[in-house]
Order: sequence, then C-alpha cells, then structure tokens
Amino acid sequence: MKRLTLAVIVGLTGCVNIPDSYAPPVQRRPASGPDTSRLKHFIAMNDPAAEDHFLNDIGALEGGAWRWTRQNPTLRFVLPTTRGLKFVADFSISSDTLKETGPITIVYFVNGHTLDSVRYEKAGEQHFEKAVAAEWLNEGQDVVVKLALDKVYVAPADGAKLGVTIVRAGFAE
Amino acid sequence: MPFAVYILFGATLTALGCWALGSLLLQKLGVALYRQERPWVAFLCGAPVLSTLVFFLTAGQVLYKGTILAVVLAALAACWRTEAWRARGESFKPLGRGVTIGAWLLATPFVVLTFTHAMAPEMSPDGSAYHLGLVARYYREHGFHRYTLSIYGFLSQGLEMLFLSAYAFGRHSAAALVHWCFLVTLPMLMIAHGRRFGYPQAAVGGALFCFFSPVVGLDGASAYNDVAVACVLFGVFHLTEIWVATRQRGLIVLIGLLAGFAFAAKYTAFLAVPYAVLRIVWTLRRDRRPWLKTAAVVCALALIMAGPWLVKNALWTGNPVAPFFNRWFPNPYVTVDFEREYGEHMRNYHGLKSHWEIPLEITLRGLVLCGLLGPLFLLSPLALLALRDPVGGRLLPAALVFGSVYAANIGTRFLIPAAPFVSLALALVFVRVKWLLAVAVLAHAVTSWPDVIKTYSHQYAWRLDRIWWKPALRIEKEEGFLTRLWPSYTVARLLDATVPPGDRVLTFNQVSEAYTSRDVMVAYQSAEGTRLGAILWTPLIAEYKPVRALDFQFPAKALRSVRLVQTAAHELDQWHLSEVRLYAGKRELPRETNWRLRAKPFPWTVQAAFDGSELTKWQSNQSLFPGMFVEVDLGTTRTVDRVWAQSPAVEQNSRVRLEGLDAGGTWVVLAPEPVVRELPPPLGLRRAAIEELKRSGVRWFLTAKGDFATDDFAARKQEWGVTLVGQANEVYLYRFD
Repeated sequence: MKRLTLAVIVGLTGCVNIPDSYAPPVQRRPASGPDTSRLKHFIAMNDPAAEDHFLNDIGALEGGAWRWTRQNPTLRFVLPTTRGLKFVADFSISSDTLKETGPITIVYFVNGHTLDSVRYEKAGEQHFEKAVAAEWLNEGQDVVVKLALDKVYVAPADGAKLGVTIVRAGFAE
Repeated sequence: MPFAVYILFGATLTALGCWALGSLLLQKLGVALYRQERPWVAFLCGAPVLSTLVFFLTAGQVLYKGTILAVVLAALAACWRTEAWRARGESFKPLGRGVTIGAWLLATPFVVLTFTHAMAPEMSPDGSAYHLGLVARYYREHGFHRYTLSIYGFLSQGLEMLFLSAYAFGRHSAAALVHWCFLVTLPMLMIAHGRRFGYPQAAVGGALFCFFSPVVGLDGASAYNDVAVACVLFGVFHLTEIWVATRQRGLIVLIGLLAGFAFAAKYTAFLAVPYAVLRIVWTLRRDRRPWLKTAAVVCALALIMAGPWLVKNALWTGNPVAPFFNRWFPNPYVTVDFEREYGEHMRNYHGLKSHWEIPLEITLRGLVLCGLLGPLFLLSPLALLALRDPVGGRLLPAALVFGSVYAANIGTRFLIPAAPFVSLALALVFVRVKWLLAVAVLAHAVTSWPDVIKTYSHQYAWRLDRIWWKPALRIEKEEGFLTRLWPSYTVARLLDATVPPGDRVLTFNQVSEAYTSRDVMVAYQSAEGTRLGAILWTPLIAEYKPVRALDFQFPAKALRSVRLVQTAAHELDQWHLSEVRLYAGKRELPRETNWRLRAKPFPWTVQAAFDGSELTKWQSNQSLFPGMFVEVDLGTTRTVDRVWAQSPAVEQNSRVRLEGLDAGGTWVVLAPEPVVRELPPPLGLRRAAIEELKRSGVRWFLTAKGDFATDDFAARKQEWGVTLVGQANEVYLYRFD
C-alpha cells in the first residue's frame, strides 16, 4: 500500500521528464557580439558612439541621457536597408525656454528633402515619427538628417543658444 | 437517412447508456428511491460511469463508434437481463392536478425552445471553440494524444466524455442534446427533492424558476457544462439529504461517485467533495457514530472519478491540476503569469465599470457578464427568509458553498451551480403567501421568454433566440444556418479549405475548432502560443524590441560558471533576456556544446537567450523576485572579463547582478550592476519574426479586423514575407512565404 501511495505521489508530480539544463542551441547567425560599427541607423544620446553621428548643433551629454541642441541640429546615420523605414526622434521642450520663445516650429529634413514641419506649442516630452520614402535614402552611405528650429532661446548671461533637449533619434521600422 | 436521426440517435444512446448504468448501480447497491425520482437519479448516477468508460476508451486509443456502441449496448443488455430497468419503489403523493397541469403548460414551450436550440447546429462561443473542439479532436484521433497547446485541454472533461459518446454518431448537436438532458433532469430532481422532503408545491415553483432562467436555458441547450455541473451538485445534495434521512449505505457510494464526477466535470465543482463529507461527518458525529470510514469511502470514490483527469495532466504536463497551481507544479506549458492574468480577467470582465453593476448585469442586461438570470433573481435576497424553514436551512448553506467560487469568475453562468438552491429557497418564501408563488412563476416565465427578454436586456445579451425547429430538424441546412448566424464557422471552413492538414495556424482569437480539423494555435492559450505571439508582435511594439544592453565589465577571472541574478522584486514586471554573451578580452567566447544553460524560474526556454537571435528571448513568466537567475555552466574553467546581455525596453524595474563560480568552487559577485545602454532598434524584424515562427512549426497566421497586427500585415506583406490567401467576413488568413 505504501509503495502504491508513493507511486501515485511520484506519478502525479513528476511523470514528465523535462530537463532543467540545456546545451546552447543551433545558432541563428554567427556570433557577432555587440555592434562595434561607429555609425548606426539609430542612436541614443548617451551611446559611447553618439558623437560620431553629430554634424552640427548638438551639445554635450547631460544627466546621462540627453543633450541640448542649438538651432540646426544635424546628424548622420548609416542604414543597412532603405525600405519601410521611418525617422524617429525623442526630445523634450523646456518650459523655461518655451516661455521665452513661444511656440516653435521644427522642419525635419532627410538628405535635403523636407520630411515634415511640426509646430510645438506645449513644453514636455515629444515624439516624432514619420515614414521616409526609400528613394530619399541610400544604403551603406551617410544619411543626413537636420532638424531646423525656427527659433531658439538665447541665454542673456553667456549668449548660449538652446533649442530642444534630444534623447534619441534615428531610423526604425 | 436524415441527419436529424443521427443527432437524436447519438444523444439518446448516450442518455440511455447513462440511465442503464445508473439503474444497474442503483440495483446493485440496493438503494430505495421513490418511483418518480428513480429514473432521474439513475441517469445522473450513470453519467460518471459512462464518462469514465469513455475516458478509458479514449485513453486506450480505441475510441470508435463500434466501441462506444458496444459499451452502451452491454449496459442496456445487463440492465434488461437483471431487470434493473423496472420501475420500483413507492410513489410520491400526487402533486395535485392544478399544479401539474399549470407547470406543464408553462414548461412545455421552454422545453421545446431549449430542445430545438440544442438540436440546432451548435454555435455557442466556448462550445464550438473548445468543449467540442477537443471532443472533435479526440474523435478524429480516436483517442487522447498529448496536446499541450490549449489550457482548455488540461481542464477536467468529464462531461465532454459524454459529449464524445454522442458526437461519434450525431456530431455537435448530439453533444449539445446530452447537456440538454441534464437541463431537464435538474428540475425533475428539484421537484423530487421537494416531494420527498415535504414542500412539493414550492419545489415545483423553484424548479421552474431555475429552468426558465434565460442563462440556464441557453447554457443547458449548448455544449457547455455549467447546467450539468449544477445538476450533479444538486444530485450530491439530494442524495446526501436522503442518506441523512434514511442512512442507506448504498447512497454513500453514489454520493462519492457524484462528488468526484463534479470535479471531473469542472474543477470549481470540487466543493461537492468537502460539502458531502462535512455533511455526512457532521451528521454521524451528532449521532455519536463512527464517521471516519464513511468519510474515507466518499473521498476514495471521489478520487476514483477525479483521478483519471489528474493522472492525464500529470503525464502530459507534470502538473496534475493544470492549468492552475503552476507555482506549485512548474511546467513549460502554462505559466505562472498566465494564471495570474487569467484569474484577473475572470474576476474583472472587460466592460464592467464596477462590481456594483453585477446585480443588474446578471439579472437584466446580460451583455458584459454573458447572460442573464432574469429579473426574478433581483429578489434573491428574499431567499434568506427561507432560513426560518428547516429545508431552507439546508438549501441556503448549499447555495453558499456552491456559489462561493463565483468570485473566481464573475460570468453569469458561474452562478448556475447555486441557482437551484436559491430558486428553491425563494419559492419556499413565496409559497407562504397565497398565489404569490403562482404569480411569480408566471411572471418569470413571461419575462424569460426570448421575445420579452429583448425588451429589457441589452440588445446583444447572450440569450436564446426563438424556437428553431427548422434548423433543429435540418430543414434549414447546417451549412447555411451557421454561415448566416455564426461568423466563426466560416473562418473554420476557410481553414479547412485552405490550410493543408498538419500545418499549424497561429491566431490571437478563439476559433470554432469544432468545425475545423486544422491545427489552430490560439496565442494566449499556452506558454508556447504566448511566446510565438510575442515574437510576432516584437516588430510592432517599441517596448518589446531588444534595445536595452546590460554591460558587465570586470577584471579578468577564471570562472567555471557565470550567472545573472535578479535582485529586484516587482508585482507585475517580468525579466527577459534576448541574448547573453561572454567575452575574454575583445573576443566573444563561442557557445560550446559542453556548456549547460539553466534558468530559474522557467528553465525551459533558456536556450532562447543563447541562440544568436535578438528576436527570441528567455522570459521569467512570473513577476520579478530576487534570486531569479540565468546561468551558464562553462563545462570547464575559462577566463572571462565581460558579460553582455540584451533585453527589451519594457524592462524598467529589473535590477541585475553578475556572479561567477570561481575555480575554487565559490560564487562571487563579479559586478553588482551593469552599465545600461540603449541599443538601436534592430531592423528587418518582420521577416525575422516570420522565419522564427516557421522554425517553430507555424506556417499560417489568422488575424481579424481590429487586431493589433492586422493593419500592418495588410500594409507590409512584402516586409513580413507573407501572402494573403483567404478572407472570411473580416478575418484574414496569411500564408508565410
């Protein structure tokens, strides 16, 4: 009877032979490790390689995550593909600067083509994304993106020009 | 021969099988019952026996028409030979001509209404999706074959075994008619209870309260199981009360079998076992008689009925009570997190703004909680007045016990197990005032008739429609009827017409699996489905993308194992790892076959963090707790100076420490926290997702208008690498190229 009871308990709790350790599986693609290419299709402002992407009007890293732009922040990216992409940017508009400048308009250019023009009336976090025509882009070569601000805040003390605080930008699907 | 004949044959054969086996049991046990209650009790007590026999036919892979027929014919022959079929016992006192005629006059339209609904082509959501979906699968495969892609396949299916018996001959409607037999048996048992225990008129009223109730009628006319469960629970109550009054030993066997069958029919009906045991023990102790052996017999018999389902689950999943208690019985098929979310969903139906809406929703509106009991049940609190009556004092505790699980699922039909007891108690109160009971029954009958229901319920309330005699008799063809009224049917037909047998279809919606023989994987119904669903959604949801890198760098050290250890706790957030890489100098250590990967919890998908794909990931599948880990045993001592892991953006509350097992066999902290970086969102994920799904055996995707992925699939077919091959209503079928 004891054996039967034991068998039932074992049966009910552990019948299935499911291993709890595994060998590495077949690799989907060869090991490449972290991406060490300097220019990427998308960049966070705190990435060690971020500055390689800056062409104009982007300042130093602050708060470990964001950078002040000036009037025409310009970045370059390298794309592995050109189809089905959208340009994405996350940035903030400071309430202090907005109070001084009033609503600002940003015109987004991709390789010289006007992608969009957006008027921002409120301070705070902003997310921009818009599909980009494949014909405007080129694979494996620099793609230049410019955000043209119609006005910036000029600090009275040192004359520093402050646009928006950018967190990340680049191309995504 | 007209198909209606097959339907009636399948249902009748099954009902007769139950009755014959029950009659044999009653005779063998020498249980004395009143002549009028005996056939109903026989049907009810034979049901567990036939269900178990069909279970063993299915488990033995010998489920054929012939074997089912042989079992039932053998039962009928034995019944004939032993004369167990003969009506025996004393008769109840007559009910009175007025009561009998009045009751039949009112009940007959409802009998016809529910019968024609049951016999018409089955189109209940759950009935056509999984109750009969599983039945169709078992019959198609002539037995159980290990199937772990639906949580519903793990639930006990005692009633479905009876459906299976009928389905073999008359398909879906025959199965629904078996449930209808319980719908009819329930009020007959309630009346028998009243006639036996001295409240016949109130019992007739209570039985009609229950029988007319719209949700009871619709459920009992569908291939669901709630009414059968209510019938079994009432049977346990009835037989237990007879035992208390007569102490017939044979009843103990029936009580045990029925209580176990309650669990076998629906997990939540397990309460029948403690209810019966406590009632019996309390009675015996009150009489200062030994109780242990009697209680043990009830429990043992209940276990015999419940046991096959527990063993089946244990063999298939390692969890005897799957899909629940996964924290106690961890398994790869149902996750702890799924169980939490499912429970949450069942306790808070979408569309219910507040629990204060429940009384009106379950009695009048009937939309959000799927069905209505009828306005009469707004008076349910009055049933408490029945406590003044000794019978009421027994009915109401039973209602409380069997209704206590309602909080776990607040759908109206989950009140059906308590409805018979509340109905009888309410009738006991009404019968005290002359004519009040008759007026209440009449009013309930009127307000429960479909044409009247639609004047006060929600337009789309789940309710019976009208007497469907043409579709029931198949004068209106099944194909045309279902195409006209049941959109899910056309989707099932599309699958059969388009998808080759053996191919698997992924979808995020329930499909009428009872009408297709194709292998449909509903994403939320299994851990594997959820994993593949997440892969499909990763290209579309920014938070799912693996853009968070955890970079642990430390002085080079000789190590035998490394592990990432979770240090945070969070109620909702989980831990995911898309890739984990180890480095020595600038060089990544190649993943060697002698490495051993472990994870706690959910070790079964740990390989996904080491497969070279950013799209696949290991996931804890339960809320964060300190001590979770993913470990790499290197098989030998290797020098390591960096560990780099990648996880989705969604992971905000996770905090990870890196530990290593040094050459001396001691675990040491290598880095208390990583440098966290944001990675570019990977490109080409759509195509990669489809490739990953193909690797997992899925070649088709079914998506409905309004579903998350539908618009993107339509707009970016080429990027996904899919072709639209069919459409039914607003549901689209894509083939992976």
